[in-house]
Amino acid sequence: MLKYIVRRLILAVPLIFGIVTATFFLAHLAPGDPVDLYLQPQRQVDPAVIERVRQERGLDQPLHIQYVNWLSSSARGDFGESFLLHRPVRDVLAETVPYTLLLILAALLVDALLGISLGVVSAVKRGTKLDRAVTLGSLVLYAMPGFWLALMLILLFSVQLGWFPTSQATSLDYADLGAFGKLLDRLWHLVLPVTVLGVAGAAATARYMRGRLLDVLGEEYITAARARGFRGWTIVRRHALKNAMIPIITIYGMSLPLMLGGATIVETIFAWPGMGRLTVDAVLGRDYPVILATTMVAAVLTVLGSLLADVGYAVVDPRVSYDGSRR
Amino acid sequence: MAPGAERVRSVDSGARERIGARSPWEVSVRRFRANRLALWSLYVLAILVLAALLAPLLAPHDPLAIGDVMATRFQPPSWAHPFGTDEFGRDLFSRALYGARVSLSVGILAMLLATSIGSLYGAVSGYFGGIVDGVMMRIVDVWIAFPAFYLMLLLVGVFEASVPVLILILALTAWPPTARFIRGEILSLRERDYVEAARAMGLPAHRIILRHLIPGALSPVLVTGALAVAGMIGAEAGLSFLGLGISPPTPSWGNMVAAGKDALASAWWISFFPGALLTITLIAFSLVADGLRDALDPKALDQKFV
Amino acid sequence: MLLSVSGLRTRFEVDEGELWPVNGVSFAVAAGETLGLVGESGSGKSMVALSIMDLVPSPGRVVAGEVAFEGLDLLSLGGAAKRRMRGGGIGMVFQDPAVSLNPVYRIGDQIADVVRLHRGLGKAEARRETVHLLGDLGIQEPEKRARAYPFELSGGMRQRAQIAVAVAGRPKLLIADEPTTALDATVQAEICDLLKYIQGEFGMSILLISHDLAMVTDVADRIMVMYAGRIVEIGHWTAISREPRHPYTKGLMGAIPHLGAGSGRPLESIPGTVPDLADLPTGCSFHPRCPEAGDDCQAALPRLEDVGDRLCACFRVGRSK
Repeated sequence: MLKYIVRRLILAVPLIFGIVTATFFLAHLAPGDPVDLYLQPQRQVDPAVIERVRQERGLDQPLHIQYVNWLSSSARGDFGESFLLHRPVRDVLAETVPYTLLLILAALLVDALLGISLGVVSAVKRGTKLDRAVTLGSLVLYAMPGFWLALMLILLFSVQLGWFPTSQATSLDYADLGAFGKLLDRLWHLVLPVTVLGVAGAAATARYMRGRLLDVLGEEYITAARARGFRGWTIVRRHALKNAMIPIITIYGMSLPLMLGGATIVETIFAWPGMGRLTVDAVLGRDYPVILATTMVAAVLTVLGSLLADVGYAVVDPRVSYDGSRR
Repeated sequence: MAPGAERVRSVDSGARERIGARSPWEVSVRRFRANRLALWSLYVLAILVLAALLAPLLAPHDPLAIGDVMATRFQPPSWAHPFGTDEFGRDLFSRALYGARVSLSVGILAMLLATSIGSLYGAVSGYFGGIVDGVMMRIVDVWIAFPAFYLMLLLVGVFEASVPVLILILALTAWPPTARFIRGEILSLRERDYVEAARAMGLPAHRIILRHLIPGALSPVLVTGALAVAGMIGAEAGLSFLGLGISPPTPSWGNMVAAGKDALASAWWISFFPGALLTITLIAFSLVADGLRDALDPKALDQKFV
Repeated sequence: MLLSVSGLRTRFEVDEGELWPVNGVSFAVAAGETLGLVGESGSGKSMVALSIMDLVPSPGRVVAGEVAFEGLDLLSLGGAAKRRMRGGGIGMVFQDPAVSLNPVYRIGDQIADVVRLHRGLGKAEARRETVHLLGDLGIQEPEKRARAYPFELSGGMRQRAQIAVAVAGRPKLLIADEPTTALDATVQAEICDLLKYIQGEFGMSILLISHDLAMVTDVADRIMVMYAGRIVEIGHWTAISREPRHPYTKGLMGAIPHLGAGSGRPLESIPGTVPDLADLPTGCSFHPRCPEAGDDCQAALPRLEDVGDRLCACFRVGRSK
């Protein structure tokens, strides 16, 4: 098992290297360099100033030298300084990434719990009204654009009912609250954003779980289990579920990039102080160091996510032997 | 000949006649039509596309026209303005119709572009094999590691987002799955016996690809294509919502929802209708894709369980 | 009679119409005997087994007949009683153990589950029973093997494991559906011996289903032959194998290679193919392929009749002369 993990980790390294390289390549794709693009649309700046800024940031060097600089500084975690915020990008990331991770992990939890249970119920009660309702409901929620769902939820729960706050991670008087109060306040602010992200994910999971469970229920070992005299729900719980969950883990790992994308919108709507909102603001403000850094971080998180999914797969499926190959 | 043998012949030919009655294509079409949800979704989509195409004829007002703002702004839905008016007094129904043009066309064109790029890339990679294939697939691996939306944000940040560029950006994030699939098909084609036979007979490579690859690959490509259009429409809507896609005053369903974001309490209709249209469109595409999948790749006898 | 089936009919409703894979089947199995059920693919023999167990997959349904097991009518049992019967009264072995055993659980756990379900033992006792049973069925190092997953076992051992799961509930009747078909020839003989052993050692009756007439002849006490959803001949194995009387059975026997005397004779195959169950010939289903068919064969359906030493459904086979 350990060998497998190490092997996967080693394979991830060239991928991360490729990500860093690709980001560099993409950033320099446009005609002109980042400084031009940042400064020109906004105001006429003295060319001497432009040249000085360029020199400061090493943008006057030949491309391959810039590339090497890029690699080495990325490896050190030094992503330069934000154009807009005038602070090291690394610090900004340190502040925002945890918030995004909190949001996404909570959403993944909701996704798993809600999605799997609904999917199972839907599959077992196939053809009944409940199944139809769940299938239709998850289709609608899955197809709905996240930003629209968010706005509708805000309209309903914040504006009309006043149950939940519309923005931020904490209330204005957060500092005055006790420890328990602080925790509650955070949870209270989490509810709506997590609901938006989690429900959309749960809808997809439920659909997939339903299909997968139906497949498993058609397998011969399930008929054999019935022939042994086990009850229906016992068979679902004990015999079918484990088999059905196996590919779900991989799907789960692949849902991380989608959630990261969705989080950018959700964070923007709810003014959640995370990496997604940071990126959107950076794009609007042409803050290249930030854009590049967050994109790389997002990609690396994706790679780690699929790594975890692979490991999870190996843990659950006994047929995956220790060197990672499938028997 | 013996009486038994005669009867064997008649039983056999009867069976053959019945089996060859319908071509796989006809069977698929029939199955799709039997799927009511998918069929209705197709009709809905057809109506939307038609409405978009005929927008200039159908729109009661000019989507960009601003008249006496104070008198006409923020009007709730009524007979004169089925979707109400926005903060500038523009008729939202007309804007929605024109917005359909933008959203639908961007989505469809982006999908077509993505499929083309992906197919070409995958075909080249699979055809040449070896090191070329290895390198090309590594590039795909790296490409896929980026979350799609982040990649779009990055590209939008780097380039100016005019409509054609936007379509290109959307396509650039969506081509890898098609590339992988087509490459897989080409690789497996090589293994097949009848391809060996065809080459032995001297058929040129492109002929083989056309004849054997296309029919088999068509169904999955259609299904993923339908889903991809939905994805592209959703992505454009998201970008436009954030202010990074289609910019006002050109209406796109995405930026129309954004316009109503701050007036939710007082003028809910501004965000509601474009979002509802988006949802309906995306649902319809999903159902059509499901219907296509069921029609083209039928599973055997279904089971009722507990 | 341990098991008594009469007039069993199972129907499938599909796009093309109705299929009747079990079309009026009647037979009986006595305690302690092995009854073989022989037929080609598409004859409906597996569906007979599933119908008895009430495991017919939709869109199929048992629509008529009676299945009496130890006096109870299985088809009208309620849920709990039916589940007790399955595995506890009648056990079933499926064709391919690679797909009939749950791939993500150890075989010891799968056996122990059945033991606990039908014999009410606790965890530790069930574990002991499992190891004991595995050893009994000829698996070496049973403690170690019990912790194995199905994919870690060879084909023959997997089938032994599946048989263990099937008999763990100490059923009185074991239905074996093509137990040797997925195995190599050498292993097939081992499994046949195992079945004979089970019959003797546990006093079980066995309903042995297969297309392999030679294998069934080796193991079974009585044999019944099935064609297109109906039984065409039932009798003692010596009678059926040495002197087949139904034309279909004769055809099946003629297709078996014989060593020794008569080995120079060419193999005969039966001309034509098994009929589509949705489009059966009128009258006797076999008449289009039958070398002895007459005009009466198309007009009416021959019923199973006592012709002396066996039951046979053929107009050409009358009472003993």
